[in-house]
Amino acid sequence: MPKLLKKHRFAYLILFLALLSFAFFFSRFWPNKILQRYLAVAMGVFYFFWGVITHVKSTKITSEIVFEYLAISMLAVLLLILITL
Amino acid sequence: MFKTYMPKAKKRRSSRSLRRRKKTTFKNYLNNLFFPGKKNRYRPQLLHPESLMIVSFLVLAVFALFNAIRFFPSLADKILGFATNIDVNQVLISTNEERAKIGLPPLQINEKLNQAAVAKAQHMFSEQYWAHSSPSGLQPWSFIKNAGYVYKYAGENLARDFDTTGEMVVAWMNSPTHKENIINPNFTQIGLAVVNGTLNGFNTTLVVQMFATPGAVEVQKTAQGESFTLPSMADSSVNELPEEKPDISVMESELAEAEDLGLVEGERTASGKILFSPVYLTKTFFLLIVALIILTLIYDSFISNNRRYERIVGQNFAHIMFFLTVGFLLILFRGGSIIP
Repeated sequence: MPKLLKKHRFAYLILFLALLSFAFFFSRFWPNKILQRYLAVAMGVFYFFWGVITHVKSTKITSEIVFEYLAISMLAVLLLILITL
Repeated sequence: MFKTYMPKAKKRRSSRSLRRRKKTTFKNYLNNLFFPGKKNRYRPQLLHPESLMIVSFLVLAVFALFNAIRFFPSLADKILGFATNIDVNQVLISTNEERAKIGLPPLQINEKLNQAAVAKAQHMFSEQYWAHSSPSGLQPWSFIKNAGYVYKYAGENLARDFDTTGEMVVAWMNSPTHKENIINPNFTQIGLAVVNGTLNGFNTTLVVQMFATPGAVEVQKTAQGESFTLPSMADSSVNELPEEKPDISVMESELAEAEDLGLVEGERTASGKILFSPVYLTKTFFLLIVALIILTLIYDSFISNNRRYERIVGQNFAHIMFFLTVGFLLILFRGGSIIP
């Protein structure tokens, strides 16, 4: 794990800051649930592209990995959207 | 002629082996789901994209089930109950506390405004809408006028489905338009209603705040009638208010007396107890899903590191970070909504 973090430290720093910002704005936007839903979608899209770009840069990418990031992002967005309904 | 004969003992053995096979199949299934091995291409089946899609459908199905329960009021009352701990006296205390923070005098409860607030809440339930103006174009001010109150200025705050009074007042204070009503120095009187009912098929708790400044006629009426006294600075601006901050303890004792003025709280369910709040029920289920995925990711990382599997899969550490954020947001999420 530390090796992986060292290798992709810039990518992980971006991910960490982005997730922190999403969490901050998600709680800040309450009780405006519409904005919270937009933010949840933005977070899912960001994570999907972050995963694909990180893997493309490391030259290790397969269709299965793309689908994995897609499925994970979709599940997370679904959970956050449903809770705000 | 050759006849097959199976002894009883052998039959017993075969049923035992069937049971054992079933047990083995279930164990294999769990192994396949959570343990990285040859069968699942060295990645727990739960983390495969197709399994994650199935989990998404499961989430949707369970969410639909929770909502389906809400459409059967008798069943929903038994299982879900009303999801609120809103206390009408606390609404008044919290509102006046927010005013006290900036040196404004507390709002006084007015019986006619209370009636207007209840009428508005009941109208929203009977006409099935959630807005300041009704679908037929009825404005909030109509309810105040119908209650026989003559106002100079008036305002309305609405909220629904909040779990606690504190959360609701914080939500109002986060919204500029609602905050403007709460800390408006022109308003001197308030009417409140907390009413439970069914709105668009859902058990709902509506909270209505009616703010007003009495007009000259209302002041005259009050002066002639009961011993209700208006604050002396009714029409003054913030700058003209006395510098001395109101004493909250005195204010609270006054509010305790104000209970007799007839603050209105709607009918509760038969038991009056909350069994499961729909938001918390959904939240708990979603958190279980997130926890299961995070634990599987951690276990997968541990096993693959120990056994030095060479595989091309998504980055577990990133997935864990992502789902931890989702879990954190689910925990922090608070229900309730207000109309901008």
